[in-house]
Amino acid sequence: MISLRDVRFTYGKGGFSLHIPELFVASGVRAAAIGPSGSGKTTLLNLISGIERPASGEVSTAGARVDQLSPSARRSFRITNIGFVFQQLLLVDYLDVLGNVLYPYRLHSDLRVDATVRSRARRLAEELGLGNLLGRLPSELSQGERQRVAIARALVTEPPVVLADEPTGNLDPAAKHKALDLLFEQCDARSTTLLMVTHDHHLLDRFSQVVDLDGWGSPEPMTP
Amino acid sequence: MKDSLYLAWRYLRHHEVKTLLLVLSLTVFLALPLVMRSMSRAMQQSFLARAEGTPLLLGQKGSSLDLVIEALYFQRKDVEPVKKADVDAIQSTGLGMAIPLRTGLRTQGFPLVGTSLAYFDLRKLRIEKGRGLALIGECILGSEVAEVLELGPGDALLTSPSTLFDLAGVYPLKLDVVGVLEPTQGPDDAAVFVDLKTAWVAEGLGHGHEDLARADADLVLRRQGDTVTANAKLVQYNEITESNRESFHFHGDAASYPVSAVIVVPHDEKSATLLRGRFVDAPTLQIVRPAQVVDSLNAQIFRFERVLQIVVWTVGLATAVMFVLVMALSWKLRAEELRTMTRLGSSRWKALQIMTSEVALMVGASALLAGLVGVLMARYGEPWVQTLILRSS
Amino acid sequence: MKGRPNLLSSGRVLLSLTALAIVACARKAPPDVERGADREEPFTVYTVSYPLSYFAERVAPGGVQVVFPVPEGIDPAFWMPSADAIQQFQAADLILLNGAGYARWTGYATLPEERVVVTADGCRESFLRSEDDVRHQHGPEGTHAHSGRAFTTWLDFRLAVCQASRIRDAFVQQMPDRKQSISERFEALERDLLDLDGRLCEVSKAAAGQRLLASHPVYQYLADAYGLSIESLHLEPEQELSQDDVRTLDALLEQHPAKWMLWEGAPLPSTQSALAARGVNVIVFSPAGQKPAEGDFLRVMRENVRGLECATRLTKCP
Repeated sequence: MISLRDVRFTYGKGGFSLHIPELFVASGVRAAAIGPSGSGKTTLLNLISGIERPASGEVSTAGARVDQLSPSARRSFRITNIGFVFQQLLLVDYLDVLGNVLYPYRLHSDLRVDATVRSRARRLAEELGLGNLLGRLPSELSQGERQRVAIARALVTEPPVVLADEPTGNLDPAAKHKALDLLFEQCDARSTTLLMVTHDHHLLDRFSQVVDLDGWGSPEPMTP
Repeated sequence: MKDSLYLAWRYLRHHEVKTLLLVLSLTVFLALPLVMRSMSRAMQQSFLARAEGTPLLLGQKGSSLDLVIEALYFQRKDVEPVKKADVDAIQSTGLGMAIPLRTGLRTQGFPLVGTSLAYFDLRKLRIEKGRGLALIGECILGSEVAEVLELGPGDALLTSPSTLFDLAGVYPLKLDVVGVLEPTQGPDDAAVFVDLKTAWVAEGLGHGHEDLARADADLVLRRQGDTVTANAKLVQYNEITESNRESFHFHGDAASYPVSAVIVVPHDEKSATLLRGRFVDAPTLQIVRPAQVVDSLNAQIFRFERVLQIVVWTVGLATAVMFVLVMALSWKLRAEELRTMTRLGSSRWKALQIMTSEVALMVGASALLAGLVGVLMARYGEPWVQTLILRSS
Repeated sequence: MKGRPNLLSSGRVLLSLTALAIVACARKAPPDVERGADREEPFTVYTVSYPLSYFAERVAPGGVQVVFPVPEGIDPAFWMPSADAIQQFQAADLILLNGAGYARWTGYATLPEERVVVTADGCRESFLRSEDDVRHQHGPEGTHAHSGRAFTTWLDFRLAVCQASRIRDAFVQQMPDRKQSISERFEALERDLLDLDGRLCEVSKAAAGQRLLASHPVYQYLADAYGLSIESLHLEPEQELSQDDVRTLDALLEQHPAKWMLWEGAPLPSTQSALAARGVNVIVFSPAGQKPAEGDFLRVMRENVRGLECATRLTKCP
């Protein structure tokens, strides 16, 4: 579940500012956040995931008041409760497929790679058709294969929420839909709440909820 | 920490060329002082061991260092020779044994050393193949010479034409190889040994020719009483064989023949003191203790080593700075990776941990390699340095 | 793994190559060996002539082994030993050379000088020349001779005493604790040699003005020491006289009329007859350079001297 109430955020002094009066995505829902460039889509994801803290307002993600957590608590919360799929995918070039899938487990002491986790990672990879590619480096994969690795990485910690920042931005239409099919399939299977940021209106039909960010963002500081 | 080490290891593996270069440069930085120290110590010990094995050295007055280098390492220093009579004089004192050395000639790029049988006992040189010297015209090869020239007992070797002692030149003399010495990791490995008389023949002081008492008339220029003058047709031998060996002879008084240096082995300390005392005021001769000469040389090497160490440490510092710079630039290029880590929720110090792990792994590998080099130098440094000195001389 | 750089194995290769490079340049430490093992063998003395061998045996104390390795029937002066034989000399504790060019092989052999004693060196101001000497000249060195020296030095018995004294000195230097024994033994030999010398001095007086022939030029020191007038030919005792030999003999007798001829060994009866026909009697005077078939050096020399005493009528001839 994702909930934001009267959330205000500004970058630095006099930078971009965002005001979200209200936003609610129920658990297990596939939601899309749409808006033009500069409308604050990435900032929204950062606020939901706790990367950024709002100046005011409430942010609840997966039942936790993220706005009230300390920075280390936010990190800890994020690594275990949020899965990310980035537009540039941002795979680690020196880790193979399995290593990339398990990557989140390497980044925080709250998570530990053990036999169960490895087994889950392998299973997830196989479900995404990566079973024979576990030893390959990202440079040896096709774009679609890399996409699937990114999806697997986002889901390996079994997060309740997956945030996707324009993950299909670089793909052709056919590939986009294929990628979305995979993402939706995996999220639906796990009842994972999915919030995907996009500027592509053609995809909106596939989401059960659409949030329009147009007008929430402003290049000028907001007056309280 | 285990995960940081894992990520660091995977990164280093992926960028193996960069990692290898950094590890090697660090290894050089760490090992260079060790190697230098080891080589310096090996050189000093090598010089000293050789010198301590040579109790006293008699030669013409002049540079004692040149005398020592020529006599101990057979490197041509053009020292003025003494006479065979000086060798006999030392021997007749009864205070010690005199071992003559005639150096300065070369054969196929290696020094030709004329000496006596006592030299082999002094240096504990043993025959590995063949036998020792028995007749003039024979030679024994050091192990290095035999290996490089691929010669052994039964083969022949030509001396190099020399203008060292005779401006008109000396014809090459063919020597019979009768033996090869066991390796000693010393200068003797790279030398060819002959009897002193053979060395004199090789430098043109002795020769053999047809018997003029029974020579054909066309070789005789003039006969006067019991004196025969030969013409230029007379053949002088450039090879000593069984059939002509008896014809080889020396002109003049053998006591005046040249000897480059004389190794003197006193019977005891008192004899050594007496011998040194005899030459303190000698106008043309000097008697030196090679160990003393080499000690002062080692002192110079030590001073030079200290200067070198400063240079090495400066270079090392520059290497360390370069290393840090490379690492910093590397992490700058990995800014996106850092941002990804942060976005995914990595712990605050994770990046630092990974960086530290990378450095630790590389430094660890370098330290291991440098340690290995140090151990090997400690174990094999001295013979390796001696080989280096031999090959470079 | 397809195409993935394997740093682990590269690292192993690096380590191995580094180790190999260093080890390949390295060598094992030099062996710590001695060139001659300690021996419990007797003190060995090698000599180049029988007379030296005899002197050494007379002077040496017990526990000394004197070796005279020249094979029977070979003239030691011209013996050419093999490399093996020379190496046996090299291994001796003491090597006795005669000097004066005796045993020419010693001039081109490698011997340990510190263990060599040239017994005749210093016993005379200079050595006598041999009639075989041919002076010659080639190149710029001027005239010179090669062999040139007479070498049967022991036939001058005072010179022989000097040679024996050098042997004594060499033994004393090696075995100072046995000096007395060595000296006593030397003195006994000295007495024997001086006895011979004394007898030859009497011969010299009796032979004043008499001329002698010799079958070979080997009696130079005998002639010089004892004032004997000896002219030499080149005749072998075991060979018949040739026509040339007879002509040379007759020519020599004309210039150097002699009634006695010294031979190294008993000549053939035909030779003796030929000599007798010319009024020349034979005296066998063996230089004893080689070991005699019977007796020893002293016995041979005593017989030699008796022969001369007979010729000079100092004793009755047998």
